[in-house]
Amino acid sequence: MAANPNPTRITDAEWRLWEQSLLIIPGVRLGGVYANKSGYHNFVYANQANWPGNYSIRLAIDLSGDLTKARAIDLTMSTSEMTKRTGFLRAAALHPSDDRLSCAREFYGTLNGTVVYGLIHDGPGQNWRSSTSDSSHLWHIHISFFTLYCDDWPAAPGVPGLEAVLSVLSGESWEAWKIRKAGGPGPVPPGEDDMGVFCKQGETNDNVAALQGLLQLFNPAVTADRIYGPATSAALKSALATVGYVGGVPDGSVYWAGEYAHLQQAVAKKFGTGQKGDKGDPGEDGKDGVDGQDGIGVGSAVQITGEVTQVTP
Amino acid sequence: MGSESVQPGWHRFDEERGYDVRPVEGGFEIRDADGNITSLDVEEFEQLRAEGYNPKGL
Repeated sequence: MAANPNPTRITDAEWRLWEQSLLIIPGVRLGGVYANKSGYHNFVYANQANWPGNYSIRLAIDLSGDLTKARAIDLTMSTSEMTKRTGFLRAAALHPSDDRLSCAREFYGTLNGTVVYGLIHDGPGQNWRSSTSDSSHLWHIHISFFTLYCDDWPAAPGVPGLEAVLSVLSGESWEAWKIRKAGGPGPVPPGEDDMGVFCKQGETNDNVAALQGLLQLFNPAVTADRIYGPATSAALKSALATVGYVGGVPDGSVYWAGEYAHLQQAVAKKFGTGQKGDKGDPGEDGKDGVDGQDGIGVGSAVQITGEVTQVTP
Repeated sequence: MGSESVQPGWHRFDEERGYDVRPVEGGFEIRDADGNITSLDVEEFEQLRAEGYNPKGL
């Protein structure tokens, strides 16, 4: 785990979200957090100085907190992962009780690989509405965070932090999240065709490689050969025992979201997130950028509340 | 990392490797940190995202 490379502009919670996304999304790459352009990838002061009407600095909740940090992340991934992870985000946003995306302003991705899908809302507890953006979101998921919450990992009082966004991206269910946060042992693991299953014994794929990379943090002797055999099962069983996890599949032959969540918490405790750097001077840059969108917009898929917003996140 | 000025048409694709991408007719162009540009068709771009490399050496 590397330290936050730009603590002046990237919050530790945002960097932690990226690093832990590596463990759950096969092949994922960082498209960026801070970028010198209008919108959530830039910090509030820069937007106020250069793009004073931008939608990322209109809400009170976006004018509170650390005004010197970028407030968005881009995650580049394959089409199959795009559709899977965007589906997780959509399901969480539209779930009547799920509040794990409360800290998020919006997200963009695709549910089918051909049409950009996005939802936006104006604050925790507010209704989500459909939103559109450019075609680059066919190959990367963009998530913006309200300024007030962009450096919250566990949670601000009453509002789940970026940890909850990671939970959604992992495919963990709302119910499993609730049980886990309440300190329970975790729910009964899902069936084989459940989307919460990352991989299982007998498979050879990138998900297995991601699991083995995680297991190497617990035991460097684990071989990362992409093959989920008895050795990987045993290593998973051992790692789960190490972190005190008593749910899941006893022999380690299935790796699923509930187990992932416990392991990543243990990894976070073990490796930490590095020390914060000094604060930067507000407005020291942000003077010379122009918006980098490619201008090829596509229609949104579903109308949620009757209002569609066109934004450049 | 993560502090680049953004140029119109290009979108950051991979911070670690310094790749930017922009759509062109029939596919995409990838620009590396040295400014070298490689053209990819749609399948090659998908392969680059899925596996991290492609036949053109990216």
